[in-house]
Amino acid sequence: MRNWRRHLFVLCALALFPVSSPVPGFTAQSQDPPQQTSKPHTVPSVNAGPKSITGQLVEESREAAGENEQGQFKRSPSVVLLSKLTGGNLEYAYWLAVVINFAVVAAVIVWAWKKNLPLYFRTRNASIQRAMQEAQKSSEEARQRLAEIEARLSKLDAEISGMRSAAEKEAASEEERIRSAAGDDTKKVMESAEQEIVAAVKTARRELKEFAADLAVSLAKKQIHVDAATDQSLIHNFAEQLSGNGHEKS
Amino acid sequence: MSAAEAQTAEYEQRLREARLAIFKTQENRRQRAVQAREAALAEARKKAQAHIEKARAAIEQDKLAAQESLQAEVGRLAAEIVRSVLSTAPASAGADA
Repeated sequence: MRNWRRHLFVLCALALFPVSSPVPGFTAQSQDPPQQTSKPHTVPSVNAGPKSITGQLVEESREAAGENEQGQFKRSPSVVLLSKLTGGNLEYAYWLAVVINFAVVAAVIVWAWKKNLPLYFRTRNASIQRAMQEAQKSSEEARQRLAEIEARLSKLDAEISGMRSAAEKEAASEEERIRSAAGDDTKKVMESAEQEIVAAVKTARRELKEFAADLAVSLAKKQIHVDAATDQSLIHNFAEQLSGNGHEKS
Repeated sequence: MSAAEAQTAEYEQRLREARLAIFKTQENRRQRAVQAREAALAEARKKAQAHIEKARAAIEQDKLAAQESLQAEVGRLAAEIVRSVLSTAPASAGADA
């Protein structure tokens, strides 16, 4: 079992070697020996005739032009070694190396997929679930909002009638206040008129008193006659009254 | 979501229109009340002015009547003044009346 694994590992390494290191040196080395040693069918023989010589020339011209790169790998040392280990010919070893290469690359790819794909799918699944949850949440919010708006719309008429009744009450209150203010203003105007009439009556009375006094004094002035003796007597009496008042006060 | 936004816009539009209509109605009523107050006040002023003019005319008429009646009383008042002035004077002084 262990030997089998070891052989498999050696085969894989040998198969990978030409793929991973297409060194020109190998090709340079491998160009001459196969023609001399391991490829007896490519050696020109006398029996082959001009047809094999032509084919060889064509092949050589292709190799010179770089078209037949597979030939380099077919004649690489690892393929030659593989052919020796398997006991087959060079073509068989070459295809075996190709198959092993493919198997190794496929195994690496599968291993990488197995390693990374579950994580990728888990992450992707989680992000999709999160997006779905967010979409569901947004949809639920929109539904709730719509229901709320519809409920408010259904109550809109009642709300408007309430606003109208409140405005009606407010307007009636303001009208009453304006009416009351108008009554107060009218009352003030009438009171002001009454006060003006009272003032006019007082003025008329004062003017009447002044008129009566002036008239009486002027008539008295015309009637009274005072000579010098009477004037002296009046002054004397006035002086006595003043002195009498002074004695009474002292 | 768009349905909710449309419903919200409709709700706000109807509410705005209702508020505007209520405001206009309220403003019209207030304007009518203010105009009624102004009219009442102008009427009161007009009545007060007429009352004052009527009272002034009556006062003037009473004043004229009082002055006429005072003309008759003036002689008595003048004699009273003369008597009070000359009450302390000697008998040589006298009045024309």
